[in-house]
Amino acid sequence: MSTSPFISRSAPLAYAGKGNRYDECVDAAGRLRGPWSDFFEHLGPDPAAKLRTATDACHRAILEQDVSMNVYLGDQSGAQPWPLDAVPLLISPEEWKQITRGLRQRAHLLNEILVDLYGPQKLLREGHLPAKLAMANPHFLRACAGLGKPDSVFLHSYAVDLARSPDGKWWVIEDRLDAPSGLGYTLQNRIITRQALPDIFHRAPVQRLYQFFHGYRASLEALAAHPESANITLLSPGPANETYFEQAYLSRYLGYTLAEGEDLITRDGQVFLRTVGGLKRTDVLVRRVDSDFCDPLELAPHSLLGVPGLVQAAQGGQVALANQLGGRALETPALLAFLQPLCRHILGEELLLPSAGTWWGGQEGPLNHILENLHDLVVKPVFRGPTSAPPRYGARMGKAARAELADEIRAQPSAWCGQERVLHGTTPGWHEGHLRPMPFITRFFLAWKDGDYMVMPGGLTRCNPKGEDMIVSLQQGSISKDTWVLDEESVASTPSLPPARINEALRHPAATPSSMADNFFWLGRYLERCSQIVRKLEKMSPLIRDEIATLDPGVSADALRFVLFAQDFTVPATATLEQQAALLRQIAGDRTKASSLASNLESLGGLLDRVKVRMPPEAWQILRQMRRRPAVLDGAACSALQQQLTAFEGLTAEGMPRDTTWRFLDLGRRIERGTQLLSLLAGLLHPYDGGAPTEFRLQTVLHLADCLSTYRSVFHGSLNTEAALDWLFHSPENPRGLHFQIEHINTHLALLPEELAPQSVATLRSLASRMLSDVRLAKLEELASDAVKANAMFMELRAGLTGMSDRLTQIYFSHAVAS
Amino acid sequence: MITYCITHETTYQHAGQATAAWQMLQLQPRNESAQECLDFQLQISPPAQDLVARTDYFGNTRHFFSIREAHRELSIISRSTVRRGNEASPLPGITGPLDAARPQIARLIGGRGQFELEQYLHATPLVPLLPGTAALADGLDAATMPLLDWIGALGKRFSEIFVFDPKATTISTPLARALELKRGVCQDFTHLFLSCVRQHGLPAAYVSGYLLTNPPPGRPRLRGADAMHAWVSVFVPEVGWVDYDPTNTCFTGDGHLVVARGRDYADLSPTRGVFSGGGTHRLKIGVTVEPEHEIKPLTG
Repeated sequence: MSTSPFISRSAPLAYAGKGNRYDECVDAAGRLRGPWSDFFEHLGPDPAAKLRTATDACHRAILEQDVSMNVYLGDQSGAQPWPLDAVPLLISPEEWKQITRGLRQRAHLLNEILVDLYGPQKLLREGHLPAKLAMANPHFLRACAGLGKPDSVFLHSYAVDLARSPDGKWWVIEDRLDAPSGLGYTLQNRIITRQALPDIFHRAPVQRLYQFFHGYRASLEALAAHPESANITLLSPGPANETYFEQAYLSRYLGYTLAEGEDLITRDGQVFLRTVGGLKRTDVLVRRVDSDFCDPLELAPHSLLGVPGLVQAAQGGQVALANQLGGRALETPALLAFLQPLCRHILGEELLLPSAGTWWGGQEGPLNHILENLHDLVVKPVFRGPTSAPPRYGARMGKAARAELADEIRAQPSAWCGQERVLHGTTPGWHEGHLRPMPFITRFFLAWKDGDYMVMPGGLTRCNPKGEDMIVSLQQGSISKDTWVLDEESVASTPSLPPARINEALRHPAATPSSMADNFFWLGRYLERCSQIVRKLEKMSPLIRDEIATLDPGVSADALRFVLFAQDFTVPATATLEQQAALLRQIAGDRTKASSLASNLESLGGLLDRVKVRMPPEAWQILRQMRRRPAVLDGAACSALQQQLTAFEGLTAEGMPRDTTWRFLDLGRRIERGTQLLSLLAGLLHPYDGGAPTEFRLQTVLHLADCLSTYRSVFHGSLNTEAALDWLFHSPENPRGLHFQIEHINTHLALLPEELAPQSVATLRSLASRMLSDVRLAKLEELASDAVKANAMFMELRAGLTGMSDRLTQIYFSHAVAS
Repeated sequence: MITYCITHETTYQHAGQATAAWQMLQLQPRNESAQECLDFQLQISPPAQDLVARTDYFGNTRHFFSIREAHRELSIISRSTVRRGNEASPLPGITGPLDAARPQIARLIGGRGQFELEQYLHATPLVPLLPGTAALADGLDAATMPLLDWIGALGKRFSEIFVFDPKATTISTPLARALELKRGVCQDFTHLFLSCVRQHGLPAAYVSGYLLTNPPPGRPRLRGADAMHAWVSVFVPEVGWVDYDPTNTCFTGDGHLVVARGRDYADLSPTRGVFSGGGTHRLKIGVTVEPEHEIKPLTG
């Protein structure tokens, strides 16, 4: 069906701009602009249906892949699904040429200023940069003076937010020079949007992103002294950071180790990653921790996010940082007032990309301008800090409030900037079933390569669905969208992807970061512990039903006491079974009790957050379900939990590569299972009164150890203590028995690297093999008949497992033993 | 010219085993027109690895090292030999009044070369610019009194208002609290003085160093009894930087040995460390300053 020329010139879905703002899609007369006319044509005859479907597809993908950002909202802080609008921003090829020229010029200029600020300081000495902007700047890090070297790059990765002004020009809103975020989200947005609008994406000649990432990787390698063998690490502030998701995502996409400060140490002027095989040199750090927090020795003293000695290592030049430390010093709006003359002075060119007109109160003329035009300006503090005032919009203030602000400015003029208010341009976004014009800003990314900056052909666009507010912030309800830079001709439909590289850690067990191993080990332990408690809770109700409890009341009471005790809780001897059972449910759901099921589930969730990138996506969905459990753990909640935990165990068994991290997970699981079993045996097998275990008691023990049905399938005839012990203790065939756990522990230990502490590893291995022979040689008839001897042995083996866990920690996780 | 031998001993005692440590030291006395650091030795136990030095933004020497073996105690002993002459005492008469100094300073900063002065005019983490500290100079003659006299007069006020009391404050006591208590140690006196004069438009720096203290007559000098000292350095246009000791109400003399200069204590804390493990620690510090001629050769 062909459309008439008249219809193709106006926007579908009753879309219209906002009059006083520049709109990407329609001009002032309401006619469609070029790229959008193609876009709508490709959407087909029912664009609303198409966009609805695409929106649903986006939401589904976000949930499936668990794309999230952490939002700071007081009590409601936490990971929120990433907000993504299916309608992309379109940028025409001609316009893109202009933008890239301006962006590259700006990156060069800012890099030169940073190199000078942290180097020779000629700009300050010659008065091109006012002294106050550096000398009174809390983000000018004096410890980093000397890092600006004229022959090297300071600003490797540069991000900048642009918006459209009403006259259709792109304007700079803000420069990000320290540890810019957004690359990972941009990539994720692209992948999801492309899948949500597959035919449209392929028909529009959209420039691909992979070449940029390919170059980005090469450019990071080039920072190292020996690019061909460069070890590159992404330094992250950790899971609590608002953009942790994309840091993890990016590290996986680029194939770099994701590390936190505690994973790295400095030594001999170099930076090393602590791995289970020892220290592994890092040549390049992709830094996502703000400079101020990077080194507790020389920068913010109590930061736990940094690496002690990092500044000195950077000074020595044996580690390259992308970005070099200290860039935030130039993230001040006051700089914008000086950028045009600085550009002329440094590059001998006119500044191509304008920023909003900015006046700095530290100079008399501009100060007067600010004071006279308060009603029309946005007033911002020059240096942002945790306690600094938010921007204030003169137009929205009453007369009295403006007078107060004027007094504040007069008291310390150099601390304030006035900035022209630019009405952000709008672009179409799908919101609540309508296509609406939304004010937007776009973050563009550049990276230093071979003496120049390359620009990523795309960006992270954020827009405000309410359409009015001047603030575009994802922390405050804005939504993101993909940015399509269109090519002049159609793009090759099969991009040549960079060659796949295997993650080194898989083939070299020693390359696993210690903290990763630590997290997986405890993930194994908590997974097992939670699962054990849940299973026991489930089995409790039948046990205390009257008819059973009266069979052998001692057993039910002991079992209840044991399960309570496993959560570090003792009950008064006078409590009835019913009271104890009620208490048990209450304790299990109580997060404030350190050893309760709820607390253990919290710990499990926390660990899962940390290892998310290494788990199959189903793991996150299970985790989400687990977190939605009710506060009171009734029967239904318990069986739901048990199913979730079982699904999880299945994932770890079949959904993970058998690398070193998996080995640590399984070690944790085996040690925990052995420990729990031994506790059960010591606590329940032999009655306190010294008599022989009754058949009901043996049955209960087997039942709580999850071995009753397997026992019955293997042993015939009546229950007896020796046979039960054989199955629980001796039999290599029982996957829930002790022998099985210790055997697997031995296998894992033999395969773990030993470089870190050869002697200690050897000792650990011989300890494990001695335990195995102890279990094999244990005299069952003695354990069955002599409660004292039996319990002593159970406790000794249990202590052995605890010791093993401690030794593993010392050797592999905290590197506390040296031989 | 007098030559001094300084021994500065710092000991960290941990509750548990520390498995590793990283340290930054600012203990090496500066070379300046009035003093020369003839020798500087560091003795670290357990033995330090990778000891290196770097000159910082203010021209101080920073030492860095790490400890790789498990330890419960870390001991750092620095021994410095410093020759110090007494700079000619500044003559107050040649300096103009404060009111004249302010525009001069602005010109020096705005013109070529002396932009660094700017950093000594602002609040720093440990030196907030409080109205209460600015008020300490209220009523002093800024229009006619020579600036050096003005500084001395302010110092005299300090001696009347503030009491030296090592028990009143700690390293983490906020300045506002010290102002309220009217008590403190040299660090508090120095920060209060800085906060005051910066608000009156004078660039002022923090100086850390050693002070020769004299034992009571007839008594021997006690070893390790001293601590590090601190005082201010004020920029006076006609003269340059002039050091003043507000704790002792005097311009500094040949007994004041400069270790480091910066904006506040945080710029030049003598030892800064990060430990792996070890739990809580106790810090013990002992300083001995002796004129070389007092050190008698051992006799058999």
